[in-house]
Amino acid sequence: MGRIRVLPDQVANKIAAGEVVERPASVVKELLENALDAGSTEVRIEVEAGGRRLIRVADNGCGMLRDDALLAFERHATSKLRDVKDLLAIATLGFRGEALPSIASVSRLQLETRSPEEDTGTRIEIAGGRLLRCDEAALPGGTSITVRDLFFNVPARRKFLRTEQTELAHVASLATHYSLAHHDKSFELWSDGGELLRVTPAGTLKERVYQVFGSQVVEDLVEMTGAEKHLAIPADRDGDEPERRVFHLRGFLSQPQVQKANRNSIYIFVNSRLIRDRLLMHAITAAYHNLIPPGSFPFALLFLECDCEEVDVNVHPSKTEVRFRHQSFVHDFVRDAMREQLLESRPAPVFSPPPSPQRAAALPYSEFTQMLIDQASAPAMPEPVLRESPPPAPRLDFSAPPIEVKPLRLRVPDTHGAFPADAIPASGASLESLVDLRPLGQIRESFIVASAADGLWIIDQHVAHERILFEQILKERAAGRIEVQALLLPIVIQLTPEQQVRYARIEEELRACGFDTEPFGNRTVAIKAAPAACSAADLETVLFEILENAEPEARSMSMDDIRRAIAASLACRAAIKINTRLDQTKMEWLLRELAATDYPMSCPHGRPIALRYGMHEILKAFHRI
Amino acid sequence: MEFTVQKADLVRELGLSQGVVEKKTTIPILSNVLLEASGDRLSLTATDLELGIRCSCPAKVKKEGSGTVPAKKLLDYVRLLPDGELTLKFLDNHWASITCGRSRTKMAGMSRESFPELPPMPEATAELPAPLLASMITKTIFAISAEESRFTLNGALLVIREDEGAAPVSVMVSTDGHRLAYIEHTGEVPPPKEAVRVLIPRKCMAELVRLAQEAGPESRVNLAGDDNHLFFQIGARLLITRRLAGNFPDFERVLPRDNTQVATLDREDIKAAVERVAQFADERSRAIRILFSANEVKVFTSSTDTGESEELVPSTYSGPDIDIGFNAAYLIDFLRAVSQDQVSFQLKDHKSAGELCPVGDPASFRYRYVVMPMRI
Repeated sequence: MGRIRVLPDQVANKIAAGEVVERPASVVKELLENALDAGSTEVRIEVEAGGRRLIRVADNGCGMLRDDALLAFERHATSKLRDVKDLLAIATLGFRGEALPSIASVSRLQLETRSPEEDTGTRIEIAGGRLLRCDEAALPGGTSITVRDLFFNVPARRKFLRTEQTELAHVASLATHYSLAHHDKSFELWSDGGELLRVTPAGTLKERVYQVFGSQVVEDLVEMTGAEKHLAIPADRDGDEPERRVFHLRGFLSQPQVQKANRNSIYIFVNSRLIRDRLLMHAITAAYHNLIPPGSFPFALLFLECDCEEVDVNVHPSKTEVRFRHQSFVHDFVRDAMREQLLESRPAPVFSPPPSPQRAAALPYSEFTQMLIDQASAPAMPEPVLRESPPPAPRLDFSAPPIEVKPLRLRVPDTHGAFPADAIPASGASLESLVDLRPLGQIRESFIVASAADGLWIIDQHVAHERILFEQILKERAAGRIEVQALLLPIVIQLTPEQQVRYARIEEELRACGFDTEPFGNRTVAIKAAPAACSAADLETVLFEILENAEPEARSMSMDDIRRAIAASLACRAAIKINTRLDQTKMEWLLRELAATDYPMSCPHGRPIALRYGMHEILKAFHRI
Repeated sequence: MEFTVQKADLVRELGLSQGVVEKKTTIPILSNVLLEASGDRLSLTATDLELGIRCSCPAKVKKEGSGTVPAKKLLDYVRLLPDGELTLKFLDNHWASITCGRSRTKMAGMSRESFPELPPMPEATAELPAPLLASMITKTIFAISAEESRFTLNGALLVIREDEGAAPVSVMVSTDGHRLAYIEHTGEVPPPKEAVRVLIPRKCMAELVRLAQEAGPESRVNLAGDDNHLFFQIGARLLITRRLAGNFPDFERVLPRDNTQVATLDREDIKAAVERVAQFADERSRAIRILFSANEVKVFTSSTDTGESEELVPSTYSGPDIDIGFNAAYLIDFLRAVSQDQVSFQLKDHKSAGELCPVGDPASFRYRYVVMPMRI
């Protein structure tokens, strides 16, 4: 008897479930995508016990006919694809036809659906992949799928589930992402009867971001209204018209002072699908290169729209990865568009009156987690109440602006006269106002304090000068007029094998930047001339620093990156150090030069340069408004 | 301890210690001066652990002993006292009581025990006239690297040698990696007991100049060294410095041999020209260009940010045109250090080191200044 058998569908479904259904959040994801593909405008998600006991996703979409509803639980049954050509241009979120049977095989599932074409709806119950019943039922339009006891028949999986809170946090973060991607739809997320997320249809993405993250996060963001770029694809054959593909990017970027320790706050949607993509991730990091420190990450919410043929989502069953047909084009487009937006807006960091530097460190995850922790610590049983009282407001009410609690203040007799109204400028000043700064002095001979019409500024003299020099060096490099000082005696430095490899790669660029170096035997390099601004004493340090910086991301670093890294090293060495007394003219010069730079908000290593204590905050602090 | 001393003597000797005393107090005792009275002299010692000075003045010692007081405070106070004698006495709690005329002061001092011990001076190995040493230092000290990181260049090299059958030669060399100052005197020093080749730290050089000026034109400097220290004795004063570790670069290799194109210029003219043109040089690199052509030298610069400037200086030059870039600050340093009326530029081409020398010196004196060009 032969040893090879074709697996029964039930087993095959369970195997597929292993790929697609990993945890409650994956079930929510599949069902949510189905709901959105069905064209619904209202989606309601309910979970119990972090989704282990119950997951229900209800929508007002197109629903299914009875026959379709039964067919949907067959493997590879889908309405979203017809033939193989469709695979090249997938416009729906789902397409594999695997999710429903997979989920049905590891849970007790109830499907309720009614299509507008039929008068009555259909209720189907399936447990562990076996159809239990299929009834006619009176139902509203749309589809509601209830998944109970997930993994009841897969103990191994059940054991690997994390705590209820963790699973719930995953579900919550997922729902948040999709609500961001579809700002014109309403989303609700309920957990054990409590509301976690409720957003009403919003006119613009900005409103939705405000609904979800609140005002504080919105303040720190720069909106990308929309960047477009066309890609002309040469015709395959003669006679064909060359095709044009349009790429469109919009979203929100954080200002450079927002720095996250990980990539969790970067949300990338390609054609409204949330993905994790190394290519785009790199493009984002590159856009913030020299703006934020290496190893930290911005907050970014990006929506990339492109022709479906340009992107292949059929990479992995979980559909979190995509492949672009024109990778480098997409990469450069995203990087340049973001960078331009950042340069254009020139936002200035402000003193945040309550010290909360990490407040958005892991949004939305941390807020949800916090909330879940709060929930967990609340008494399990509600206290009996005699009178009916309105339910307490949830801690995170996304739909409403935060309630401002005004501290009770005694009225201070106004003995100093009213503050002239025009002294209160509109908030949201940008670094443009650096131009009319008047330096007042230094703090600890390190930070320049300056006044302007819009408030008080503190400027870090070292990083400010660093930024000035950095741009100057890059300009000189671009113009090819680098001043090079020859050395009396060549400086001979020893390289490690790694550094030797780096050196060989960047030798040409080093020369163009003013370092005349020559291999000098085995892993030894002689420096014969160096940029004039670099003192002979610093040379070795600078060169090692450049080689060091070229190392970590060796493969992904372009020549342009290397050029910037070299300029950053040179600028840092040559810049005014902290603990240096500056006289008035020198400070004025520094501020003037800073204002003239392209990007006066952070140094090439990403530290902020200037802080503003706005007139508004000052007046507030003195209780004048 | 108790002694009486002339105010003028004490002020003079205390003044010499000021350059050595630690300014930024990391170890409090280092801002103190050690006073020791014995026989008929008062000796004063100050150190910052790198550099130490010991000097003395006549005093009427009533009771021998020692103690320390803050050096700057003592000088500031004593300087204000009327001329004449003052009496200083250490009390049991390390405080010093100073009496002068009708003034009475008690200064907080510190125990002598915590003051670092300076090493004793070994037998001197060489001797040279103090004014010679001072002049060699002032002509080389500006080329020493101000950066702390390359410490072997943080001082100048002093060489005293006696080649067989020739007069003894003393040489001082300093460099910062971009330029090099070299000065050589033949026959003005007595033959050394053994050849000298030592690195003198920059701070020590500056103090030596002060001591030499204070000591007068006839004084001599005795030089000695142990494993870790160098000793310079000028009259009754002794300056001790820690030796710089490391090797001085091979400067002989750097001195140009075939710079055949020579231009002679009036020092004041070229100095003024460079100073004016340098106003329009890039602030960081200070780069200017000099075009040597027949009978004329053009100093010029142009920058898109600041403007452009040019100066013509007459010169005796007959070689091919050479257009060479230099750091203006390096040229000015040299032109300010020489006193002769004329200087010469000796060049090979625009890529090789240029050499500057004063013109009209006796053969026993050679002052050479080598500057690497800039590529602009």
